[in-house]
Amino acid sequence: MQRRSFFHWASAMLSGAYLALLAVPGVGFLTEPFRRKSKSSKSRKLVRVKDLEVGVPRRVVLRDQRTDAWTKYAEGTIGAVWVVRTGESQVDVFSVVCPHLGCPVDYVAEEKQFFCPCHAASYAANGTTIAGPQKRGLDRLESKIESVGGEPWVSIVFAKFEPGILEQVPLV
Amino acid sequence: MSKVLDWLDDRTGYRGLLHALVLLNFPVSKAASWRYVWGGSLALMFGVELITGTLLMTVYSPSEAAAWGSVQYLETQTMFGSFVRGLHHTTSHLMLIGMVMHLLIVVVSAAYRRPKEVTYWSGLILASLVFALAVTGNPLPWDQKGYQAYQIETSIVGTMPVVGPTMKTLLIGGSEFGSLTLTRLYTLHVVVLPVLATLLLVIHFSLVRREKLMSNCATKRGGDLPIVALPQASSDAGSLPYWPFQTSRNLLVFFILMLIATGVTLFGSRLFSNPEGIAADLELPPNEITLQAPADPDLPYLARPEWYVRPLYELRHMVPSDREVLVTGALPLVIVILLSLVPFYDKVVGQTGGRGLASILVLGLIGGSASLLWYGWKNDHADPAFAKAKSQEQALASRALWLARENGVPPDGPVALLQNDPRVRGPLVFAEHCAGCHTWDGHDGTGKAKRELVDGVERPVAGTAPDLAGFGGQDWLSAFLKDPTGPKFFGQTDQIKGGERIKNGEMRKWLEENVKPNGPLEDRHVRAVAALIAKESGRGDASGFSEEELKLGQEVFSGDVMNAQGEPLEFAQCLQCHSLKSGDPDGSGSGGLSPAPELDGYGSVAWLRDFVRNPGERKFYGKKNVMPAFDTERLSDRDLDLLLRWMRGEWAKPEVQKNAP
Ligand code: FES
Repeated sequence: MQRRSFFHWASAMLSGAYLALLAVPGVGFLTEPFRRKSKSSKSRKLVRVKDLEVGVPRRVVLRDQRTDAWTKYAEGTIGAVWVVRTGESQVDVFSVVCPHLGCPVDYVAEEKQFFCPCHAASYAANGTTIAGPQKRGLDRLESKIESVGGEPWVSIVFAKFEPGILEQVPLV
Repeated sequence: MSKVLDWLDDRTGYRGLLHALVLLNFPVSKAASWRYVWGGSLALMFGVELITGTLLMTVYSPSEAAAWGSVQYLETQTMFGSFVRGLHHTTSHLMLIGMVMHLLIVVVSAAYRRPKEVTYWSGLILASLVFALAVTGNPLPWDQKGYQAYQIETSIVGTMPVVGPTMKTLLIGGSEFGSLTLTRLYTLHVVVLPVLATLLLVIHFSLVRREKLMSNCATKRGGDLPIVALPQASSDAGSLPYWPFQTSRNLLVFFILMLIATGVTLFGSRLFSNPEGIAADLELPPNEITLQAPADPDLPYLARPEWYVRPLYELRHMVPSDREVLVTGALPLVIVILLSLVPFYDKVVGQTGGRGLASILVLGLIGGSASLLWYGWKNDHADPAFAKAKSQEQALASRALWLARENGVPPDGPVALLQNDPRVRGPLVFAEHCAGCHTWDGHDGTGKAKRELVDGVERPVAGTAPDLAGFGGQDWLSAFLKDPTGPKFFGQTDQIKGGERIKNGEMRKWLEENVKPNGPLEDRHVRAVAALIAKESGRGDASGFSEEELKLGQEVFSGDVMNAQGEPLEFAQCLQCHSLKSGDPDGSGSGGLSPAPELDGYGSVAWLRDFVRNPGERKFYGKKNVMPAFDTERLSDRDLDLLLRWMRGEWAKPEVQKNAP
């Protein structure tokens, strides 16, 4: 009986070890997306301030090198933003991605509103919600005005955010 | 808990299924437990392969442009990626060894006899499926090793009589390797073969189970199989239940094998078994070189098949090529037939004889393969060219992996990594276009010495044109100035038609008349003027000369040098023939006397490009020129650029890690 229970114990332990041998690396392997290094927080020049009219949003497309897993693409579109000049040297920069479920947001000049065609979300020119199913206003990007060669430029740190939730959480 | 399980078993009968699947509670004989470990361990290893293989599939991408990059990505970016891939790789090799052991034990203990013939055959088919899995898995990373090995393996298939060429085309998906080769391999490796193998495994197991029930429980043949669940019942009959007595042993052996696999994965260099051949100045430590350079038939690679195909490969090279079919086609067929017929040997030569014959066959096969392997391995390792090739491959692998880590893989695919790298492509361009006359540190740029057959013996020979390693640098220039007709410079140039003019030209005369012992110029004068000219190249190693040295260089060039007593030295100045603004600021000489190459920008990219494109131009060798011109037809701009950057030592390098004192 002694012998039998020893073997029972040994078989059970070793079977457990067998499963662990496969499960532990398996979980680590599959959860790789959570451990990716966060994207660079480099500052990008967008437009000259003097090219913006106060109160008229302008869409700016960002182009840069893009890395997709192992491939590095020389240049491609990485996203777009709405730039709104609000004063002499003040700007708001919003992501064009609708915080509801991620459609691109348009600007309707006649109504001075941002409008998302997917589920009819509308936002004021300062990004706050007017109507619609979204839980938060447009995602504001960190921006500042820098002088480049004597001329003021709008520059931002680009990011994308998790849609559908109340808080503005950057995607890694 | 047990109530729930009882309920479940009542409704589904899952316990019966488990018993059927993993032989639970089927009796094994007391004495022979250790002998039966191989079957169980192999099944456990097959499980490991299925799981790790599925994990690898989540990253791997089967296309020419992506395969190598995806494997590199999972090796470096994915947690446990290297481990999972290593385990998958090493376990496949262990399975092949395990199967041979299994076969050997089955044959020696005559476990193929009635009623186990079909069990034995299903095992043989299973073994060939596992073999096919190994062969089709190896090339998937699309690196040099797998690619070249698969070339050999498919060409062996191609030489088989009648069906060979058709089978080869089917395997490759055409006449040449390409994207279809990879997708076909992938389909075979991840769907066709695993499904077949799983099916065969189930059949094999159910046959084993049936046989155990019949022999150990003394059931009447043809009757219903009893439901055997109680270990007590079987232990009375001198036997023990499979679980836990056999499973413990199986698992233990399995883990010993896994320990070996893990050790090899973590500590062994999976690619390079010859430490003597490790190249110096690698970008990565050898244990991080887990993948060979991307498959590229343009790059040198000494192809060898994997060890499990190696015996056939060696044999193939031993027979004359018109008998090759005997080795690649007839021999494997004969072996398969002989192994399949093992259960019938008894009928012909009696029980003892049959078993003996079968054992001799299997042992002979093992011994024969092992000696062929050893023979091939010994030959390779006795060959210095082999070690050199391997170290070169290691350098390429390390370079490619490092570049991919630094820059990512370009969308065109990983081949561009090395093809656009001066360090890799430069020497190949040199070997192709320049090494006919020039040498590089005595070799052709890629490390092969220039050789010639002299009276039937191969001897290293000097080039007929200068050795270009270090061209344009101070050391190279001063060595040249001190001995322009030395073997590294124009010593052999007179072997070329018209080269006499260069070898015994003005430069040689100048040296004989103006430099010690015959002339007044000393070593430091020569070095100084070499520094002045080297500065023109803009090479990384031609900066940081002292003001004094450059000033002395300029004085030598333009001819006003004083000796220690303050008297002017009498010698022929360089500016009489050569022009160089930094050596002759007021342009008094401008090379009137005898036309000689202009030295402005000497050795710089622009100078070299112009020179290679047209060395016979007036500002270079003019009418004296003997070097062929390389126009864009012969040498593309891209190749020329890579060549020049390599010659000048300009390629991306890892930052040197400073060791803290
Ligand atoms: S995605 Fe914009 S409103 Fe739904």
